[in-house]
Formats: sequence, C-alpha cells, structure tokens
Amino acid sequence: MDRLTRIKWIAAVLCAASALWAGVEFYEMRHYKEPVVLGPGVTQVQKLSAYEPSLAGTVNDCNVYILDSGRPGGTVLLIGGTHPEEPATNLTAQIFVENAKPEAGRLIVVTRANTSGSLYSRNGEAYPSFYEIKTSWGSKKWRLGDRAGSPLDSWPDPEVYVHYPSRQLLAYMDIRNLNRCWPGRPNGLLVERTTYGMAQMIRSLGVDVVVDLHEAELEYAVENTIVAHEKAQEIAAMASMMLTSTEFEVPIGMEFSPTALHGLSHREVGDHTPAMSLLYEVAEPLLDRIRGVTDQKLVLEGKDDFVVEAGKHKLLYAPIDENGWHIDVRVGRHISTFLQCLDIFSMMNPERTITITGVPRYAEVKEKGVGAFFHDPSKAAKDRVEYD
Amino acid sequence: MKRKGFLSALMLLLMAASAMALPKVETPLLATTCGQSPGAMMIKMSAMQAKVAPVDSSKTLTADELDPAKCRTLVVTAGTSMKGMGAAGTDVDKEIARCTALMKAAKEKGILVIGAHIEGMARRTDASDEASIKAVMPLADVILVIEDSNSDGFFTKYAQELGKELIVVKDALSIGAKLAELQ
Repeated sequence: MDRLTRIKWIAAVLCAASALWAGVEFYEMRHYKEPVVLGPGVTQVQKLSAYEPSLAGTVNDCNVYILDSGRPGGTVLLIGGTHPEEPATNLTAQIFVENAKPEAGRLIVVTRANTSGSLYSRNGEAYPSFYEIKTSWGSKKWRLGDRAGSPLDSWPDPEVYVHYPSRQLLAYMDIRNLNRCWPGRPNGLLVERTTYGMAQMIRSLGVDVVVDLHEAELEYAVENTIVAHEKAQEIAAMASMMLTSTEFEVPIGMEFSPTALHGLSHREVGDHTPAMSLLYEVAEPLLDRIRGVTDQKLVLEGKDDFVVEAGKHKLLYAPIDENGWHIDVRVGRHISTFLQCLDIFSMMNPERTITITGVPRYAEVKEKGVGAFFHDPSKAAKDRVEYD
Repeated sequence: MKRKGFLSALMLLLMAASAMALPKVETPLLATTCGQSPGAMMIKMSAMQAKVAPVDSSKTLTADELDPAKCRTLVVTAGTSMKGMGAAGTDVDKEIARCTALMKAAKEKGILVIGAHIEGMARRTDASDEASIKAVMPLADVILVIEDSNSDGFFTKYAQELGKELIVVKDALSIGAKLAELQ
C-alpha cells in the first residue's frame, strides 16, 4: 500500500469514527424520553393533536397536562419549552405538573411546546446534549436542544418566512421558531400547526390567561421582564412592582408587547384568542454570544467569566457577578412571577379566580434547589408517569 | 442642656422646612412616559393601590389635550423602551418633543409637574434613556425616583445641580403611598 492510499484509509477511518460517535450522540438525544411524574393535581393528560389532528404521529404532538380543581374559576395555560435551549422554562412547567394542586379554577401545562427543537442540538455552538440535576433520589436528565424545531421534522425552510396572517417577512428559520409562528395555521409547516393546535386549545377550553416562559441572553435589552399584551398590562405592571418590592433581589421589569411585531405569543395570543397573554424573561448566560466554555455547568450554574467581564464594561442589560444566574434562581423567578400574576388576575377577576397551592416560591427554590421538586419516576405508579 | 434644646429646635425647623419644600399632590393625577416605557402604567397601578384617585395613565398625552380640570398633577416618567417606541411608531426625539411641550403647558396651567424615574437601572442603560432623563427633569417641579434608579447617586447630584427637591422611595410599589402622603 503506497503512502497516499494509507493516508486515505486513515482519513476514511477517522471520518467514520467521528460520524459514528456523533451519530450515537445524535441518536441518544433524538430518542431519549423525559419522565414526568404526575402530581396530585393532574386530572387528565391529553395530546395536542386533540386540537389539531394533523399533529398526530409527529414529534410535536406534545402532552397537555390538565390540573382541574373541580371548583369554579378561571383557566390558565402555562407554556414551557417554546425554546428548548432555555431550560428554566420546561423545568418550571414540570415543577407545576409534579407538585401543583389547584384549589380553584384550572391549570393547563405544556412542558415541551416545541418538542422537535429539543431533539437535536444547535449547529456549531457546542451545546451539551443533556443536562442532569441532582435530586434526593438520584440524578434526573433532560435534553437541552436548540431554539427552533429540527429540520428533520420541518423541511424545507422557505427562502423567506411569510408570517400568517400578518404577511410580515421574517427570517427563513423562524418558520421553525415556535415564538414566531403564533397564531399558526392548520395547513402550515410543523411548528405553525403546533401553535395552531395550542390556539385552538386556548379557544376550546376557554383559557383566560396564557403565560409563555423564556430565558434571554444578558446582551439582549428585553431581560428580566414581563412582556404584556394590552389585555394584561395592568396585571404585569402590578406583578413586576410587587415581585421587585417583596421577593427578588434583581428587579423584574415590564414591557408592552409591540403591536407591529408578529408571530410572538404575547402579541398573537392576545389578538387572535379571547385570552390575555404574558411572556416572562429571565437571564441565561448560556445564550450570550461572548460566553466561554459551553457545558452543563454553564447551563445549570449560569456562571461565565467572559459574560461577567462584559458586565464590567456595561455591555449587558442584566447584572451578573461571580455567582452567575443559577438555574434555581431562574426557575424560582418564573414560578413566583406566575403565581403573582395569577393572584393579581384573581383579585381583578374574582369570578374567574385561579388558586394554586403545593408549589414553592422563589426563596424556597433557591434554598432547596430545583432538584427537590422532582419526584422519582421509579417509585411512582406506572399510570402516573408520562414521557415528554 | 441649652445646647441640646437648640439642636432639637434646629432639627424641627429643618424638618419643617423640608416638609414645606415638598409639593402638595392634588388629584386628578395623570401619568405619561417619555419613551414609551411602562413607567406611567406603574405610577397608575401603584397610586390605585394606595387609593390615590382619580388617577390615569396615557402613552400619548399631548399639550393640547391637557385640561387642568382633569389633571392637577402630571407625572412624567423618564427612561425609554425601544420595544415600546417601536410599537408606537415613535422615537426618543419625538417623545422628548411631546413631553417637553406637555410639561411646559402644564406649568402654564398651574399643574404640579413631577419628573420621575421609577424603573431602576434597567432604564438607565443607553443614550435614549439619558436623553429622556435630561429632557424631563429640568422641567419638573420636583423629582421622584426609586432607590434602584439612584443606586449610583446620579439623581442626588443631578437634583442638586438643578436645584430641585428630590424624593426617593424604596421601589415602584412605594410610590402610591408617597403620593398619598403628599396629598
């Protein structure tokens, strides 16, 4: 065998080994199921395809957890996992599924709104495929995922994404971004059909309030805030003042939902359904362009020297120090913000009161850690465990 | 003994002088924002919580619309929202033009004008925030800020430079109680 042939063989073997290694990781991520232990408040688990049949058999036919108090009151929908690379969102939603007990009204939870995006990783960003959180019974694992749905599930992208029904022109890949596809359409691509299914669910179940959870890079101006549709502005203003005054060390602000920016839940849900819509943001250093090593530690602890340095140069819209933005802080803020908004909504609409107990607030999550609020699926009855 | 008595009397005098310098807040109270942030909405909700009534907020209030029968105190909050200005199809220059005209009209009509910064350091990040602050505060009768907005002492120095009374409250939720106290 001459030298050139030998080099070719070595190169081929190296390529095959790399492809195999990547393929195994890819396969694991694509097929890993996240167990969810149904808490005492869960009365029913539906599939989203109940509201948009074309989703049946697709990866985005996500679970819809219904927690009905059986008492009169309003209905709230909590959406986690709109952007899978924002883990505080699906973790917050799952804590409600595993722990919440509605005392009045009804809570509906989606933990993996865009499941497709959670099944693959972002190209070129070296994200970890999974993250694990310690609990008293062992370690629990979730997929990290990308911002948008996978091209494996929604392909091809258009040259330019024309948003329906506004006809606003958006970037091509945003047709897979769940928070650019509201209110959706039944004959669109996968993510448009996903939001359409959720919008249909909102209409048919008479949802009063929709909350879409997010995380944002500290370089982004809309940070640690509640973005509110016109219908929800008074609730958001009051909640931000109360939380800043009584619970959070770092204030939570409020922003009005822009009327001319289309496809986002805080705009379209309020415009196209009877519900009022709110979107929460919390700081996540993982998403900053200037971050350093992107590993599970950064996902969970939110500590990064480069981001801290940027803060020293006043390049950020949220404070950060050597303590970072830990997942306990991020999840705790989302939980308290949700509960506070519900309290204010109920105060302003007593006939539509929604009361939820059994869920920790910010201080308790910070003290005990998020792992304290997930239950051991191996100890739960088989019919009380679902998979996302 | 005499010295203690003198100091006590001096302190009482200073406190009385300080209280006298603070304006009397009359209702109806109207709030608007120079930069389309939710500050005015927060003033309204905080005032409502403290039972200061009637109170309302507007994102677009102009000098022509200002009716002294419907507004005895005008609060203009500074600090801008790019999202808000984009949504309203305006920019910081237009907002400054609207609000400075409004504040001048209010003064001509004998309306108390409070310049406020109540959304903390998050609304003191860029040139638009600074421009709105520097447009609003010189025209105010009194300046109202929350502790977070003044965490670097900026408003303490700025109020001194402008020769304005500065009211600092703990946070946005405390604004209503302060307004009620000044009624």
